[in-house]
Amino acid sequence: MSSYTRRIVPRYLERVNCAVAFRRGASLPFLLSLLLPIQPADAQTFVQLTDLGSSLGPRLTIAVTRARLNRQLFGAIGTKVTFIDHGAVYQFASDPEWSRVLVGRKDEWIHEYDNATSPGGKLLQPLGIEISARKFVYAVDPAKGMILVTEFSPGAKNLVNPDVWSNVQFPRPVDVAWDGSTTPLTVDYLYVLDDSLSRVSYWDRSNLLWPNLLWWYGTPGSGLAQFLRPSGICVGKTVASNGGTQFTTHFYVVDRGNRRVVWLNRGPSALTWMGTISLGTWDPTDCAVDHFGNLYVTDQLSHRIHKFTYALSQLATYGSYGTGAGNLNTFAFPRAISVPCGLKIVNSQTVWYCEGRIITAEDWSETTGAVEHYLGIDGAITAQPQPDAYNHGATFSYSTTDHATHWITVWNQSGATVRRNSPGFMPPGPHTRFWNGYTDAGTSAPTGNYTIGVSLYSAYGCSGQSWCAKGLSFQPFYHQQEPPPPPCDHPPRCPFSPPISDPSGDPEPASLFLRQRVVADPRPLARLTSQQLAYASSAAPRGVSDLVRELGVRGVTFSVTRELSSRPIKISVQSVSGRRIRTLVNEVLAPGVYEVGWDGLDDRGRPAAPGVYFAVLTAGTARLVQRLILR
Amino acid sequence: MSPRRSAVVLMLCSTTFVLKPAGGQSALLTALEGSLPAPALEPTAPGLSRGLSVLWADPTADPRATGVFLGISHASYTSMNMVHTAVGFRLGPRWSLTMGSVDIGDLFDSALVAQDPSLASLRAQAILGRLDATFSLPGITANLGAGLAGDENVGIFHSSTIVRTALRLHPWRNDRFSLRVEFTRSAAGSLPSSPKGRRSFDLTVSRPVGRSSASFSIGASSGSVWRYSETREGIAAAVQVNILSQVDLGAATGRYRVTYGTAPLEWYRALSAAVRVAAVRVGARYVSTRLGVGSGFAVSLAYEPRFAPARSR
Repeated sequence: MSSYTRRIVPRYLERVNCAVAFRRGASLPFLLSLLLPIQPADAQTFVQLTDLGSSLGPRLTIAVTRARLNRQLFGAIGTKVTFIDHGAVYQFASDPEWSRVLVGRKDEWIHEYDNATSPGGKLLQPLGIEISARKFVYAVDPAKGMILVTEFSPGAKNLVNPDVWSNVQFPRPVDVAWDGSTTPLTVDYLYVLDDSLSRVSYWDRSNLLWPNLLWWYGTPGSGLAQFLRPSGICVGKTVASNGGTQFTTHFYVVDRGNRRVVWLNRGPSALTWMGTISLGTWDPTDCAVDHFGNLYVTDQLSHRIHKFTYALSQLATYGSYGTGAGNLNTFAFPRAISVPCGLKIVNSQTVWYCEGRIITAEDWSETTGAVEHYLGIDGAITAQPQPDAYNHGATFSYSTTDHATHWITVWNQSGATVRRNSPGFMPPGPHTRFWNGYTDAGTSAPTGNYTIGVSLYSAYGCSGQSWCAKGLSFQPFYHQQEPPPPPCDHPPRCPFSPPISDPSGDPEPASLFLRQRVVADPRPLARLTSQQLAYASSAAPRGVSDLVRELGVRGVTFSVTRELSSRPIKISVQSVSGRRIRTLVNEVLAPGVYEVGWDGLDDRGRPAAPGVYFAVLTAGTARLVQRLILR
Repeated sequence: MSPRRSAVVLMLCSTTFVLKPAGGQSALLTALEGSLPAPALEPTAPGLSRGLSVLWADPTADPRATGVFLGISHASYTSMNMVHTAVGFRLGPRWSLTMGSVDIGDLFDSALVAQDPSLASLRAQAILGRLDATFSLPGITANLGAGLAGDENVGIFHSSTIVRTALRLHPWRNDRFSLRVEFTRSAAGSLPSSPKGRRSFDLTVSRPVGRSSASFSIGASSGSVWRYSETREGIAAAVQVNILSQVDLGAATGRYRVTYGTAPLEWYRALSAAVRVAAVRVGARYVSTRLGVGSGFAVSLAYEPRFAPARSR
């Protein structure tokens, strides 16, 4: 019996391993212990998990809570992934130091798998691991230059049918990611990351014997389409209409040598470099994407987790250096990160579902382990209420760190609610809102001091938990009742109100327009300042036609006049056949000029074919159409 | 060489030649390939249409049709025009050459063109030409065809060769009942093909009443020619009445499953009419759909010296 086995098996080895234990010369007390009921000890639970079957669903909190993995289990930890199969939670972790993969079911059992007697021989240094919906487990071993392909059998409680996969495209694979965007339950498409060639390769494994290379991308270097010792890869996700998680064609590569994260899109016609982000002093090592498409990146240098939108806008940074099981809000040396995913029944339908919490694999001084974190909703005020030139209504801004339901309330000076409205379920990032000075009854609010509050309720609906909600209270502001409209000599052509300049300097357009805009990446809805608008209108540094050939036309700028500011503005993307593909905007907006970009996906996260599409803006009875071009 | 080693060698060989991302066809080409000119009613249930207009969807529906044809379709939603032309002649089997093109003009707004006038040279267009040979035997009509598609999406060019084969059975050797199976797929070119191609099936019954007739057809299709096609599966039904061999009136409806978009299913509805004076046939059709090129009108003019409506032969 190896020294490792002696350290961990007394509580966990299953009865089915008795024969193996006899062969290895186990002691009599140990064999007797196998006859006792299997009861996981709290101190040695593989990892504590929330109950996915709970009606509350997975939870997030801004305060980090966690359970440390039993440190005796690992020499080191490469990556840990969690697969949830209709409520049964299975864990898979690679251990590059003790050359094996651990397979376990929560609170029940753990088995080791080292592939010693199977094709390819004993694992040497397993790092990245992945499991697909079909329960195929992939473990990369850069020291052996191969990928171990096995199937997870809940019945056998271990990995079965091992096979070895190697190719000149990945002589030193470091990570692997399953791309569930194509018929996720029937075919495995895989991204394989290699650090010696600094390359991503994309494989169709519908033929298990002969995986088909669809493309490869990347050369060593620091420029466009180049990586330097990449260390992690993760696939974009978004919320599916069936309640599950939909994979997208986006993926992210942690380009550790260049200290950046690269965002790529596997479009139908070509692989597109969508953007990069670098935080300066950091050491990104791995990434993971949650149910809403938020991106998490481990930072081994500053012992932090950084959270980004799918378009690489930074949302939050969590933690500081710390070790120990009870030391909250700390990370040791996070090397890998994952988001639990699996099969779940939603509305009587089996769907693929990923959670919002993260699990990191860390090294710290006394031992090594996997740590579970819950990251919750937070918000911040970015601009206090700013009345317009007539002191009528107010524009205000705030930002959020996660998807949430927003409720906005306006109180008068006596504390009575004047207006309460919800823009609904909103993505994270900056938000600019406008109170038009009217009450819920539709009358102009009387002159006086008013206060605005925003309540944010976490997307994960954990009622009763303080970290599931966040309140933002803005400073009081003075509002003056709207004067009656001036007399008009030429109805019905009279303007609702004359165009004015916003006190903040933002433009307030006099007419409604919708214009094309060439953007390098999909952008969330954002209001443009005068400076941004001037920049957007200036000539591009190189020919626009070159940019259009490379990027297509996926963005629009549009105006919201004061007259239309009380009505919902809707912008949808429609195909040449008139079918609605995606709704980009559907909310009430303050007067101003805005931009929004399309990521090429439909409302359910599936990629649209390249070609010409139409952005259709509707506001009241007004309707404008502009062409979009998807590459 | 062991099977395992053979697999490794094949895998290595395959990686040598497949090193670039594959392209994808534009929605315009998909729309053109799935279109058909007036007065043909429905691409999935084409069996009851007669004349040159049906050559586009199903040459076996009328193996006797010869002549020349010009059709124009206008999508009201997108202001997009599609042109269909066809020539049918006999040289042994009946040969038919069909061509189609579609493009979208004014792609860029004036502000962008003012920044860079060269934008005006960028286009979004698709063309598709086909050559089919149709053989008529007692009780069986067979078709073999090949086509070449070109696709330009503002500076990115793709091409594809497609092949199709169809077999229409007339168990009673007349037009009262016929059954068709067709297989279409992409055979070569830079556009990624759908591995299984598209399989189509239709069943058509016709009942003659003197010099008039009434026909009914149902059809189904599965799969797609190219990987990124908008539709995958469809079912359709069509009905047509021919009056005194001079006037055709038809109606059709179809239901299609789409691969992307807000709604997973889409409907297709069409009404058509055609009038024949001597060898000249004028057709019109109105389509209410969000598939293909959207709702709109189509008109056509054909010279068909051998035109014959469905009848009991």
